[in-house]
Amino acid sequence: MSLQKEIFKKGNKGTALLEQALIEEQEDVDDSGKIIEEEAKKSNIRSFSTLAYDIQGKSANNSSPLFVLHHGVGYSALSFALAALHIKNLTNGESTIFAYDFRGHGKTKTSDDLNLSLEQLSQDLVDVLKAAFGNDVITNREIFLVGHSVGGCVVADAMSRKLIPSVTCMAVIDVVEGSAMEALSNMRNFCRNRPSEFKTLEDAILWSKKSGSIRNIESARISIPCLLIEQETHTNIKKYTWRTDLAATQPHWEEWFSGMSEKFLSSNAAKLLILAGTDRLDKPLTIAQMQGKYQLVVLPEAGHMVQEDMPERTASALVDFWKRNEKLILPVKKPFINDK
Amino acid sequence: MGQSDLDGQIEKLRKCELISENEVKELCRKAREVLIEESNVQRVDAPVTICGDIHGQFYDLKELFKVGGDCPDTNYLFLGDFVDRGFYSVETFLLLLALKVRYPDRITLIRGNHESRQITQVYGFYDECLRKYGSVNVWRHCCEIFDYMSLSAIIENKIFCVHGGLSPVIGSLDQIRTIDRKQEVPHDGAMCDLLWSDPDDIEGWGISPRGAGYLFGGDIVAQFLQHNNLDLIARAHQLVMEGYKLMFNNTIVTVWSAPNYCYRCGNVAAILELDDKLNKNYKIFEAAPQDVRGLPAKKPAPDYFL
Repeated sequence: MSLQKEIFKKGNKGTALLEQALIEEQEDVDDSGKIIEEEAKKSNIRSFSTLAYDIQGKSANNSSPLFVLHHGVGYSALSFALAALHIKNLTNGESTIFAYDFRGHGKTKTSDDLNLSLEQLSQDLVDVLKAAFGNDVITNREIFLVGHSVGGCVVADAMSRKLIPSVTCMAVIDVVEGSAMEALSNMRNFCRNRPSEFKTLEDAILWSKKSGSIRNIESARISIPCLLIEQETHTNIKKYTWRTDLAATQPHWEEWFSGMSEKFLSSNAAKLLILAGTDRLDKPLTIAQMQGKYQLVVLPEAGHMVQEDMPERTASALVDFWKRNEKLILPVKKPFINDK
Repeated sequence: MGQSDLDGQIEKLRKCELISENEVKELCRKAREVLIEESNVQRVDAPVTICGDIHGQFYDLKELFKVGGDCPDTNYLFLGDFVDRGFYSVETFLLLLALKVRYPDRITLIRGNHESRQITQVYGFYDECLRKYGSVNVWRHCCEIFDYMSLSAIIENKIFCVHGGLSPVIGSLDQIRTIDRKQEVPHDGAMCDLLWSDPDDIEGWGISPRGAGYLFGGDIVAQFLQHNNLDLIARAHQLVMEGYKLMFNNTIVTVWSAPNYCYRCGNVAAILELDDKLNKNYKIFEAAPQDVRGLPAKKPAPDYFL
C-alpha cells in the first residue's frame, strides 16, 4: 500500500484532533509530573502521524500560504509542534501548516519502513501532499517547503528534481553538506552512546535536556514521547525504547548529504538557511552567501534542534521570509528623503 | 595621545599585536573627531586605490599593502566590511582606524553592512573582542565608531563608491547627504540599501535574496549615473572569485579584497588603482602563505545532525 493511503486511512478528522490536543498540552505544559500521564493517554492520537493546522479551511481558496514541514531522522512531525503554533499566530491563523511523520517514523506505516533513499523520501513528500490537498497542490498552491536536518536534504532533493513546481520558498534548518560529511564518524559514536531504553517517558525527556539534544524542555515534553515505544518486559516492568533505529539508517547517510549544497543553491525558489552557528557553512555555501544568493539566519543560542530550542524565533524567521518574498514592494521615492 | 604614541600603536598593530583597552578608547575618541567631520558622500581625490571587503584577514591585508604600497605613500579608499569571519578583526580594524587618525587625508574608510552591532554579534567580531580583551568594552568602542563612518565616497566627482549599491529611495547624491547616519544600520530604508544592495542582470528593482536591500539592474545604474553626471559605481559586498567584476557595460565594478575568503573559498583578491586621470589598473593578489597567518580554530563538529 502506498504511503499516502496508509497515512490518510483515518482521514483529516485526525489532524483536527491533533491540533486540539496540542493546544491543550500548551496550557498545562509547566505541570511536569502530570503531563507525562496525559502524554501517554494522548499517544493514540498521534497514530494519525500528521500535525496540521487549517488543512481544509483557508486552503479551499488557495490564497493562503501552505507551510510544509519535514522533520529529520529520529524525530517526528511534533518536533515542529511549537514552531507551527507560532507560525499560526504570526500569520493570524491565515496559513495552512502541515507536518507529517516520514517513512520509518511515528505511526506512519509503509510496506518498507527501512527504504529511506532520498528518491523514495522525495516521492513520499509529493504523495503525502497530494493525498492531503489534492493532486493539483503541487502545481497550483503556493508552498513554503521547510526541512530540518535530513528533512532539509529531502526538501533540497525534491526541489532539484522539480517535483513540486508550486514551491515559491524553501528553508533548510541546520544542515550543511560539508559539515555533516565531516561529522559522520561522530554520528556512529552518538548512536552507540545514546541510551537505548528508558524506564519512564520523563526519564527520556530529562535525558534529551541533559544531553543537550533538545534545550527546550517544553518542546521536549511534546516531541519526545512519540519517539518511544512502550515495551513489556518479562518481569512486567515497563520500559521505553526508540521507535526509529538510527544505526539501521546508516546505509543512507552519505547519500542523504552528498550534493546537498549544490541542490539547495540550484533551486529557483527563494532560499532561506537557518543555522545554529556560522562555522557550519561549507565552501559552496560560504561563497554563495557572500555573493548574496540566499538568506542566512543564525541562531547561536540554539542547538541542532533549532525549531524546538527556539520555536518562536524559527517561526518568525520563516514568516518574515515568506512575507518578504511574496512580492516586491518598492518604497515610494520622495523628492528628498530624510531618515530621521 | 601624542603623535609618537600613535606611531607606536601603529607599529604594534602592523605586527598584529594588540594595543591596550585604554589605548583603544583613546584611539576611538580621536577617530570620532575625524569621522564626524566627514560627509555621507565623502570627497576623495585621485590618485587613489580602492579596496573591497577585508573581513579580519589581517595577514591578507598586509599582502594588500605589499601589492598596493604602504599608507601614507598610497592614498587608500576602503569600502567597508573590515571585521567578522576572519581571525584578526580586532587588529585589522584598529590598524586601519589608527592609520585614519594618523593620516586622515590619505585613507578613507566607509561603512559596510558588517560594521553593525547586530551582525558582529553573529559573525565573529563580538566573540573575538571578548576573547582577546576579556570584556566587550573594545567591541562597544568600535561599534560607536561604526556609527560615525561615512556611507559613501565620490572620487573627482566622477566615481561613486559605496559598500553595497543603490536604493529605490535614492535618486541623487544630495539625497544621500541628508541621511542621519549616526545610528545602527537600520533594517530597511536608504542607509540599509546602500550597505546591502547588489547589482543583478534584471530590469529595474528586485527582491534581494539576502533578506536586506534590493537587487538593481543596469537600467537603474544608467539612470543614476546620468542623473548625477557620473562615470562609474565602485562597490564591494559580493565575493568575486576573480577579485573584481565589471557589469552593465563597465558602468559598475565589484572589488573584492579578501583572498581565500574565510580561509576556504579559494578566490583571489583585487584592488583598483586609479591614477590622477582616473585610468584604471586592477591588481590581483593571493592569500598570505599559511605558515604566516596561522589557522582559525575549528569548532568541533556537531554530535547529531540526521
